[in-house]
Amino acid sequence: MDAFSHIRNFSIIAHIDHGKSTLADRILQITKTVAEREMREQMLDRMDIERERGITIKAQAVRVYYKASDGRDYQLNLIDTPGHVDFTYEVSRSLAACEGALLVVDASQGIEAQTLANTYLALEHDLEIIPVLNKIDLPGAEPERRSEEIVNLIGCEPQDILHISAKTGAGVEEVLEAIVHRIPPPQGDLHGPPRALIFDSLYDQYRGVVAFVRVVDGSFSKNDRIRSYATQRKSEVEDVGIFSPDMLATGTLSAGEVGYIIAGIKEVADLRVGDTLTHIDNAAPHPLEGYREATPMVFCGLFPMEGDDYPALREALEKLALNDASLHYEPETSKALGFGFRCGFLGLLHMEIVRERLEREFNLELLTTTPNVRYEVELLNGEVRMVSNPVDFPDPAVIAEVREPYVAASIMVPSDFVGTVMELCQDKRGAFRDMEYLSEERVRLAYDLPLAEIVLDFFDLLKTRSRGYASLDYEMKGFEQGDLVKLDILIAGDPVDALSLIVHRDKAYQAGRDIAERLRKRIPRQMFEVAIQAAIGSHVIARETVRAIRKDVLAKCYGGDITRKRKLLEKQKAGKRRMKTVGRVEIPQEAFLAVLDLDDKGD
Amino acid sequence: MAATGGSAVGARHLYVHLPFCRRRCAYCDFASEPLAAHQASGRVEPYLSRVREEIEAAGEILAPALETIYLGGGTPTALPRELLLPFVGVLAERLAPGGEFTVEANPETVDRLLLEELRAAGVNRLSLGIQSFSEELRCTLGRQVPQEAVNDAIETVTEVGWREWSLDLVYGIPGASLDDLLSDVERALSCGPAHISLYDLTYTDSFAARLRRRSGPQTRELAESAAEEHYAQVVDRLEEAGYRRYEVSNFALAGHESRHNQAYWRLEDYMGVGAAAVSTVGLRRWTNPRRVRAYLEARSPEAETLDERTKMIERAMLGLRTREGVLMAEVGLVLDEDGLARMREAGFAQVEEGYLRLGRRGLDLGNSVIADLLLLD
Repeated sequence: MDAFSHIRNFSIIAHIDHGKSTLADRILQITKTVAEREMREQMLDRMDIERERGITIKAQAVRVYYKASDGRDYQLNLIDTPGHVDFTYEVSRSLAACEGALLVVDASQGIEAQTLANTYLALEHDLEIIPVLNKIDLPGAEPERRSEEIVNLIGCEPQDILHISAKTGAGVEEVLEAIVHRIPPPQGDLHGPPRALIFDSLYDQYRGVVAFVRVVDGSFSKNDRIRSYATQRKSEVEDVGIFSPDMLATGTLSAGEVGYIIAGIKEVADLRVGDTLTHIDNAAPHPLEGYREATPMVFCGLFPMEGDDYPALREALEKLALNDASLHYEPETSKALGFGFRCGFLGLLHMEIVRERLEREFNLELLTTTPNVRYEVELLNGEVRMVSNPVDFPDPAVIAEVREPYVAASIMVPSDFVGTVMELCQDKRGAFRDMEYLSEERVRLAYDLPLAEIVLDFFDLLKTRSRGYASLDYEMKGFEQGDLVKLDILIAGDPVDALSLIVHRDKAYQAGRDIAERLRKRIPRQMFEVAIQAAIGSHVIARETVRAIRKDVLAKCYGGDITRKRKLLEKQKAGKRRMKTVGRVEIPQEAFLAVLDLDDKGD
Repeated sequence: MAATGGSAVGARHLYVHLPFCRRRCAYCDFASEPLAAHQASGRVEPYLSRVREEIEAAGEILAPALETIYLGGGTPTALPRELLLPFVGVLAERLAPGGEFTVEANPETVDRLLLEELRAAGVNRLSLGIQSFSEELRCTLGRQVPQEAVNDAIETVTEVGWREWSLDLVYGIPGASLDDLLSDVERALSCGPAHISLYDLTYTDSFAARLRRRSGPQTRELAESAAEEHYAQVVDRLEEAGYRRYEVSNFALAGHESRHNQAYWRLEDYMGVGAAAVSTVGLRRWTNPRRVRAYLEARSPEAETLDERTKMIERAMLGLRTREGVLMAEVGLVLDEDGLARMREAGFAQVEEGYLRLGRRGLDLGNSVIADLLLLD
């Protein structure tokens, strides 16, 4: 009997709310991995944000033991993956650690773009896919129609699709049986030079970095001297074990198994997702394939609302980065917003999560500048610069060409909304690539779109215009030339660095007018008339004026109310101090927020 | 002149508060209580006695000979004259030769006899609260005075030949058109007072609520923006007519400024007696109980001790309200250098012969300009 025949490694692919966490909870229960009294919802999602939003940000792994109908005991390793496009690379590493995947689809909603993308990713890794229709007990369930879609998409047989209700537990045993019988056992060289794939890692403040690994060859034991390939980090194994679902030391992990390794390392950046671990003394000649460094795609400035919070913000970012190797940040100084950080993220969700954690876990109030992408700017002298901050955008006079990142987007949408969505894509400078009917009423559209548009508001608009039915997935495609300009906002003649944007020339006028108007509505009238201008280079394309105040007096001030009037004056001065001063104009934070906050549609 | 610190001779300025009114006007935020009720329960005479006691008990706090006395309210002239005149007479005994003794009056409470008797008792300045010559606008303020009473009062003041009097106007009453504003000013000018106070309407919470209830939510905003629009024009008109704007809201023919109020703006020591009255002597400031009943129970005033810096801020805040301005040397420590440079550059503030003062536009924007000029924390 081969050493791997009792092991099955699998992950679950599902759209938000399609029941992934519930199914995982049910599996933990049926296999008695977690005592009934310790059971709670979304067992595997540890962060508050994960539970609240019903999403998974960090991959999780859990080992369960299952006695199958053939009478044998199996070790099943479930790797729960993040389900968002920002984390596609992490998903691909998690999938690389598995031999099979459950594709969980809500029987009333049908398959969504994200799920489909991850399913294709799984197929690329030659994973065995077990399609599962969940929530079949709900009134809106349409198992036949959804089955047909799945059959069309992944080319399976209708009878391969399991029908379950993770909530009631109906059909979950069959899922476990299918895992055992349809997913192949892992393969590897139990006695070869050890290799383990790091598919995620987290920072524990007491134990340092915990690497989540799938051992591919050989084994890793306590006190083994190990090193990583990409980062060349050397250390010694302090602890090794499995997730059950809490960490449980086992002393050793062997080929085919999934678990954790702790090696006294203090930064997750030293044990990166996708990297390979091996022994120092018995090193494998080659790392596992597929490592790449996560590169930030979306950038923004983060500034504390209160200038005094700058050191606190730096500390908080340092702490988050311990646990998040893909978070990039460097100090930035803005004339308008003071000291802050320029940060790079994998995508919008990543940005939002970081911001939310900073605000929630570190109690910071932050001002975020409009997110932007990284541009490739070729100068007339042939030099090529990567620009991820509008402030650094070169003078138009020296620019030969600007190129921006594009994505290949895949959009799943009910056929009724195809027209609207195509219009939106067109409007967002998309290039049509393909259209495919998944069934009579669902269509998959393929477009090439500038990432900048997605970062701006594409997803929100897509959701609004499809009444929430459309779903989106995309992958990076490369850089393409675009007619892009830097739009500056000037207040009383002074450019406000934090408000500069890089936009397509065709959109510059609208954007300029829009921003100028929002500012006008929110900059209180001052002692002087305040001109608000939007300009490309020296060319002003929009102008608004905040009229000057002509009277601001306390009519009476006599012996009886000097104290009160002094307090009023102190209050007025404090109000002024809370404002940011640009030139001689005082601008309240709300005005910046109104411009920077994409959800604010003005009033 | 000792602007800060106590003076050996005590305060040379006395404010006396008589909080009684026939009825309360909606817009007013001074301490005021219904006269009839207090008369019925016999509290008016004890009140006057208590005020006299307060003055007698002041000892060194109050200078023996006063430079100014101001009898305000309330409506002092609403008091029965057999109570008012002897009281005024007692106060007048404290007035130094050449001192200023002002009494506040409302049109419906003055007649020729009263004015003559007040003058005979030692009062030499009258402040007449007209607020507006339009009955409708007065009604908006909740000030029910018949038109005849206003006309009669002015006629009487003129007939008595009382030149040293001030006419109070409220500016920016909701519903007032530019014509209304200008015609109030023209009417005021035609009465020939030596002094005009032009008070930008202050919205107390209760008045703002009343206005919303009666005229809708937009009224205040409309009134404020109309008032702002024409303010400069109205100020110009007064100055053009020879009334020099010597403080944000006060205009006077040369030499007829209110000496009592100027003492406040120079933050000289002053003593206030009566309900709700405030005194500032040296670094001490105390406030009497606001309600008549509490005042009569001789509850102790609320006291605060100012520090030199606070006093300097107040000195600057008050001085900058006036054309005279404030001596740079006196307030240098609380000036915001950047703010000063900006305000000078913008022409809102000037420094001349050691004095810092606001220019014409600077006064119009006083709140904002003063906040910029001072270091406050």
